[in-house]
Amino acid sequence: MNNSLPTPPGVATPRERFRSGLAVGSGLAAASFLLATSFGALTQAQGWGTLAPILCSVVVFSGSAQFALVAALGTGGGVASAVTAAALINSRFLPMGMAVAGDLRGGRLRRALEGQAVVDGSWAAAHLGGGRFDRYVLFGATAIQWPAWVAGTALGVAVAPEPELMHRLGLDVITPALLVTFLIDELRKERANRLPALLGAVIAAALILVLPTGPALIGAAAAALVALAGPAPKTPARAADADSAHQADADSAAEVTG
Amino acid sequence: MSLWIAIGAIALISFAFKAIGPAVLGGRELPGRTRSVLALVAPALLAGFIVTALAGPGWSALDLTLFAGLATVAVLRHFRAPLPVTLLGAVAVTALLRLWTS
Repeated sequence: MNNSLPTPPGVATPRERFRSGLAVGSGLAAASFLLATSFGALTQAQGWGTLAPILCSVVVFSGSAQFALVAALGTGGGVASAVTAAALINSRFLPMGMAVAGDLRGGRLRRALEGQAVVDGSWAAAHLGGGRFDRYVLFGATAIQWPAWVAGTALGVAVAPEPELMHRLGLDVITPALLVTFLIDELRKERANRLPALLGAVIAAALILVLPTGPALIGAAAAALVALAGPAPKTPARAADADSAHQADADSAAEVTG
Repeated sequence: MSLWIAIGAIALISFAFKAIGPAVLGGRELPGRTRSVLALVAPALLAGFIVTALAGPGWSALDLTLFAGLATVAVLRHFRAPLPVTLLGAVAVTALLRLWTS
């Protein structure tokens, strides 16, 4: 796992952390690009035209929500039901934003804007452990995924490949495979992560039977409440910056490119 | 027209979901209990992402070839394979199983 030179904690500059975010995001960007071509192709089968799918990827930038939108509009559901389906899926950004909030900077508006960098893969990659996030890794990982998502959509619109192709080539495994590697890293980092991960999986598995993806994920996030069963932490509040704890990301970032 | 309304509405709603936590919670010192809960959100949600991706709504998307691909990831990571090798292994196992079972 450690095929990179270790970066001494507290030494990496914001630029280095951003670049390690770009590196860790490059695998995610490749997966995003492929997924986005499927999205673009799917919209062509439903007569979205050229501009709408690309603009949708620019402003929504959320795979699962965009696929839900196509599916809901495609089955003849009205705008309200399509928007509701996509909104439910993206409701997961609520707990994700709460978790990352303390590591963003600036006033309310600036933090709200910085929070827009939260997408599943970047958020997971920027997690340092113990609820701390490296905002520069978050920004870097998203900065490379967003153009890949938009470009992939444009390619899908232009070429409209057979949507089955990605499935046949097994490429749809890349995104969940990256999430599995992130989870394994989390479990190795801290023993305390095992119980919430197990509970989160069980809750999601049960809720997805009857609920849409978003609420099922919020239920999974609620597994973090097991922390209340333990003793109250005596550690001091978060430090002024995440500088002291970005080691793990430097490692995993170098690994993605290596 | 309704397509554009839907796209605009989803963009605004997603913006709001991502903005609320940072705007409301950021910049203030949270109680220790709250911090310790937020610290465990990442592993809990990551496990949830994987399960919902595998199962799909109502467990309708369960695909054993995808499951085999992810099991490959776990095995390769256990033996400390580099990430690109891990991903290629997952894609190869998934694609070959689909070829074989189709």
